[in-house]
Amino acid sequence: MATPDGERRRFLAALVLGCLGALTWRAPVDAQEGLRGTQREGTLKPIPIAVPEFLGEDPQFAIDVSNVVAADLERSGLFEPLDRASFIEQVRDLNTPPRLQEWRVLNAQALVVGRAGRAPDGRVVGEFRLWDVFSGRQLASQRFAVGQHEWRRLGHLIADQVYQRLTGEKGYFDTQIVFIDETGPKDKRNKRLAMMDQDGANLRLLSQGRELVLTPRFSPTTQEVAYMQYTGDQPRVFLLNLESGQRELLGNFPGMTFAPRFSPDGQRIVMSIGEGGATLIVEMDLRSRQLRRLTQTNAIDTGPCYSPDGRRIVFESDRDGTQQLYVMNADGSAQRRISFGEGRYSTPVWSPRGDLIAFTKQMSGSFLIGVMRADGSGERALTEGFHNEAPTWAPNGRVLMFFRESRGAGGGPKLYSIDLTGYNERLVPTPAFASDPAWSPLRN
Amino acid sequence: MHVGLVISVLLHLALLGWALFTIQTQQELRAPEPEVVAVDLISTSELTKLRQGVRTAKQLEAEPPKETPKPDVAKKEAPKPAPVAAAPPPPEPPPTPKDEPKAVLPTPPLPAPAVDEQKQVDELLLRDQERQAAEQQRLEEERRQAEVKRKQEDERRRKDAELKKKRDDEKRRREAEARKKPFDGDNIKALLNIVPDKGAPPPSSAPTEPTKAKGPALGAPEGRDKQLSASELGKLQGIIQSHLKPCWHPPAAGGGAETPVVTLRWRMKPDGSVDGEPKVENPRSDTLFRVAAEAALRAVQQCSPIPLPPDKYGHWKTITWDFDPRQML
Repeated sequence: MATPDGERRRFLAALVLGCLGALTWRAPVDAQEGLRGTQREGTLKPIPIAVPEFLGEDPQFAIDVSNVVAADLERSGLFEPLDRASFIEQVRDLNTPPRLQEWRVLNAQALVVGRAGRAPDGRVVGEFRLWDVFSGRQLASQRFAVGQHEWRRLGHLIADQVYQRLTGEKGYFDTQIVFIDETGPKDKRNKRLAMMDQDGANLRLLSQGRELVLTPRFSPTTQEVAYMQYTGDQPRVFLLNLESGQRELLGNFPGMTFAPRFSPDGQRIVMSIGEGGATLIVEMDLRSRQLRRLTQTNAIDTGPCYSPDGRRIVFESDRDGTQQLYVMNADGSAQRRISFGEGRYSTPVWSPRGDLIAFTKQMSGSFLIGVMRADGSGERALTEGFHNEAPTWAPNGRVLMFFRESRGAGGGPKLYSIDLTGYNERLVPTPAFASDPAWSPLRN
Repeated sequence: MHVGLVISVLLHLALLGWALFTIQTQQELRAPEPEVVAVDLISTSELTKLRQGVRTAKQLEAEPPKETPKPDVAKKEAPKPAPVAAAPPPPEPPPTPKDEPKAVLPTPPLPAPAVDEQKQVDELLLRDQERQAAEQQRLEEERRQAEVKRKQEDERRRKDAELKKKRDDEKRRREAEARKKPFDGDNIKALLNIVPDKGAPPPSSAPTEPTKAKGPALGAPEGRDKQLSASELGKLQGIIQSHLKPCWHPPAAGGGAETPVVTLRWRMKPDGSVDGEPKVENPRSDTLFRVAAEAALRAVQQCSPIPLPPDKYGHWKTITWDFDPRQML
């Protein structure tokens, strides 16, 4: 009896002491409080970065690769490759740490050193090291090998790594664009399906221009492009394999009015089909080729595009009087309007990140390319002009490409890219007029 | 037994029922709603600052009016010297009444000897003569006394006049003096019984830096206990903000809701350069945050040294800085 009593007493004493301790204990006061503040303003100017000439047995080849890296970074609008003439230090060896104080003087925040050359197996090899000039740390290093004819990819791959390491976003340089190449006079354009690297290099024509081609779209998973082709008055949907060059007819759809688009898993295609006076949205399973109606109104529902998770579809419809944007579940349920602004909304495209929807908006005589959140909030315009249309997202969801038509008899469409800040708008070099761009996913 | 039990149960039930009923209907006991008193909780240092602020504010207010309403102040003050000057006279009149009794007192003893003479002379004639003589004497005496009295009166009047003149002169002089220097702030203060403030002359410089000259009541000037005024704190923060601005490239390519806010903390050398490597106070492991933290670190390192005032080193020895790009993107 005595022992439990003693234990209990001891326990009670400990409890009381503990409570007292808890009451009297205070978090250690930080004696070194110092000065506090918040930085809300920085610079949107591009980050100064040094990309000296790469090393290699073939100096010109190495320099060409480093030039691709520098050009990619510069075009992103987020980096400012410094003039190589101002460089003090000559990089002689990739494996010895650079004297970073020499680069600090130039105010470069980062340094990309690299080497490029030909491997014995006939491929080309490139490697790089990314240095943080002010902390002195090596941030990234990697080695790539690609086919000899794809040597520019070495530069794109390295630029993507640098971009990702310094911005926290995935890069988009190792990508391609399919678009409609337009030649000839305005009233009798020759429209051909074309493809090129995102920087305009390596242009390839994929159709001969005997037929009218429209709205090419990349498959998110395979090297395939779906597009529409008019043979006479007959619209057809084709699937083109970019590696083999083989074309596959998906079907004849009389009265089809708008572009087919892949589902994120690449297994389905969603498009709109005219039926009677109305246009409705249908989904096609690419394996079974079976069609399924998703909307059924007396209005024109068109321009469908999947969300990146494949669960929802955004589309445009005039069911409420004017063209507005709507979102529904992938099975056609829970349709609701998300755009409520003035003007007419069209060509909605869901960002690969899922956060934003890009669109074309026609208002008071001009066309603007804008973005809004998936619930329709936070609408903002990125660029405005006489005729802007058909935005397409870079795979990282940070840059859009679209076409802009210039006025006049000699005018025509050209491709432009713009980032989400709206500040960095660039003309994309194409040999002739170009429209209807579609951005590929990242190549791997 | 049974009856008792039943009665007991019934009574208990009745009691319970009554209790239930009365307790339910009983008005809720509620304390009267206390009146709402607005209370501001402020720390001692805030109170000190508040007081400093009021004190300086008064000086600031007093200063500008000095220019135009100065004459008013002088006019208001001028009458005051008069009462002060007029106050002394009251004690002065007493001396005159004192003089008068002195002059009157000698008269009563004189009639007394005359009465003694009458008693001494028995003869009527003699008495009459003597009476006449005495009468004459008395008259003469009276005349003399009157003359003396008149003389004394004259003298007194003269003295009074002199005194009055003196007093008037004095008054005039004081008035003149008062009129001569009515703009003397010190004099006004003296008249108003205000102890002249040693810090009063330089307040013209005070408005720009109200607390600089005063400082804390306690503690070493470099000590941590010294409080920065809001404007001084703002100034220091402003220096850092504007200095870091061109070096800070927030990394997110277009922003978004997930843009992280990085808090860095670093020590400073007295020359304004960063001492060692800043520490991330709110570390996270995701890529976006890591990249944001690195961008903030680069900004601090690239923009070192920061041109902060050396005399405030105690306050910026360590800096804790949030890098929040959400308004930019």
